[in-house]
Amino acid sequence: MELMEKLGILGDAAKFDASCASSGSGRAGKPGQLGNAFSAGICHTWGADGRCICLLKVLQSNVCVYDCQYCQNRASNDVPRAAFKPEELAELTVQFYRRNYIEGLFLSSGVHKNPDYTMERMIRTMRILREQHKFGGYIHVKTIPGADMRLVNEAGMLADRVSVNIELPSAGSLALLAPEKKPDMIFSPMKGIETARKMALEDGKKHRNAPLFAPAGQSTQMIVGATRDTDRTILRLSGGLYKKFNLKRVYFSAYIPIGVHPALPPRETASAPLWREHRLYQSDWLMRFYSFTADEITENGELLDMDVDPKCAWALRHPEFFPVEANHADREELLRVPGVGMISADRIIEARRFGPLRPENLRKLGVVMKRARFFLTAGGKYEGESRHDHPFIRELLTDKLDNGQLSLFTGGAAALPAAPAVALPETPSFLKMLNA
Amino acid sequence: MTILCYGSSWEGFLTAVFDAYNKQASICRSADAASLFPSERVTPDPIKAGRVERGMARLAKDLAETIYMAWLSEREGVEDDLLALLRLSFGQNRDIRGDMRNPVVTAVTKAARQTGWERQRMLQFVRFVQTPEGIYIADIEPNSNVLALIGNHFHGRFNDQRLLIRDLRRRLILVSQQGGWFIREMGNDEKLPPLPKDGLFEDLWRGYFHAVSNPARQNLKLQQKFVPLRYREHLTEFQNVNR
Repeated sequence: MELMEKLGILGDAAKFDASCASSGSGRAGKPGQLGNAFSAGICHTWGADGRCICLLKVLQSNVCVYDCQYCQNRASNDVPRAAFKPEELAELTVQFYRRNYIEGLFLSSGVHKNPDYTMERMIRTMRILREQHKFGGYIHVKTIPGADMRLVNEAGMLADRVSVNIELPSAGSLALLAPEKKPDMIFSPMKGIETARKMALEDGKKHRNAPLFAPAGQSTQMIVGATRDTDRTILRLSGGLYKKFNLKRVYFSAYIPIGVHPALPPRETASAPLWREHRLYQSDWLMRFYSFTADEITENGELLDMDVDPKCAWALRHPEFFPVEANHADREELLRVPGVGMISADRIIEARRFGPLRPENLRKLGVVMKRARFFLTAGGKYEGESRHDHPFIRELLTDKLDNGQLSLFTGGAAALPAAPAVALPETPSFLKMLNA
Repeated sequence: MTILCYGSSWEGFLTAVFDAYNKQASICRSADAASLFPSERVTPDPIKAGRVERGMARLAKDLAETIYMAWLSEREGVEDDLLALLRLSFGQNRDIRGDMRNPVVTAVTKAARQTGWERQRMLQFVRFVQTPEGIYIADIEPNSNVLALIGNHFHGRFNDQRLLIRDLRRRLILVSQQGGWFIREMGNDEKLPPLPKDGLFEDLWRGYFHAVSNPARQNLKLQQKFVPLRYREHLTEFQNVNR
């Protein structure tokens, strides 16, 4: 098969993976050798779907023995199949890297023959890159559920980031849509990776040249909207994963109907929930950088408000907290104000040391007054509307589509897809399993 | 009011700041023939420039860096904003960069941020073409003069390659090879040969670029926010295949 055709198939097959980061590893280049890692990550371009492309994201092979219903590469799906030879993929990565197209390689795979065989091929690719090409760039590898822990460890020694996809937000959904994958096949490598990473960090404190293990940490991904799992379940699970396994990121991938199966929701009700994905990411940000908890974000119900972002929604539910005075509030309080981000909060704190701030100063500092004006005073001055009843402000804060129309979701919460024809198996929640 | 013209060097700019500090003066790169005000040529003077640099270092370790980044933005009138900021800072004898209430501070911060952004853009968007001789060449046309800020990155990353990055707008060339990197100015009559075709890997990259985006989620507006049109001419993946 021509390389061009292969790359087309295996790039296309990898496009459902949401992860795009090339960050978390800072490594200087070695004299006379190729590649380094830039700790903040570098995005090299953006595709027509507006998502960044920073790594050569491909599958080693899209041949798969599993038949997960949400996946394009499932065994029963009729798609062209291809596989890279390790040498071939390593060469391609290096050639792209040398032209500054990419930061490195993102390697995933369908389960070719069996998990161990697949994992060995992926390790072989990474080994050729690191040892023959002396490649110092970024590598993100997806482990294959069910692969031997020894192989996962080997992968961690070669890659910057290792990830295990949790796939779905609950054990019941997993049993329904991906019956070959058991929760333990996901959680035990996650745990193993975290343990190995911690040990390598400890060793690193004692010996300067101790080998690294997945220095950029691990991440995971789950599909949203293919099952009836609620936003609260999803956010509490991500919160648990950040805490328990120190994950760097949890990615959400809006389900796009690609098949018909009794276990999947009826096609008409599973329209791509891109807005829901967006609101989940906003919540994820609030949890990681703004010290919100999953319970605070979803205190109002199982599903997120689609009209306003989760920070605005929280603010509207807590009038007792506002208005916050920009000249005195501490950082924590400022960060609770919709329209104030981490950068503008720091700028406010810096600027008010020089003298009192007025509302027009805040605008210059980068505060989004369109939202913040309802929740903020500056020098006692309030710039919100004279009416400040809840529905009125709520409407002003509602995300409008480009044509000025209200978004399709007026009236509140996200819609879950209709129930599938097959009943959900009885299983404990992932969160319980995590904390067990 | 006098207009001080300093040419194009950093040292020249600092000398102009020194000369202008106590007078009614404006600083610019080169004299505008239509200007009503008399202009004066400033000759770069290492002693004067050094005094300004030491003055900045006394107020804050990284003040000079902000000033330098803002100066590299080459925004119109940035020299006068910088002069105003330095007068204020030296006058109050403190680092006032955090005082975003002051319009001079916001103007300078904005200019410095523009340069910082564009440096990052260049780390993302420089695309090399391999010549038959095995040299990797890229063309760029940034708004800010960022060539000096990206040398370390590319030299460190592609340490076993010979690189040329050509700033077409300023006629500057960054040369990176074994042992180090430097920037040279092109001669007045030096011609720039157009980049050769790179063949297979360019085509593979374009093919991959299209395969990996998900048509069910197409969002061209978002794409354009991240990849502004003005950069696309030099981006392999956006070029017409029949170049």
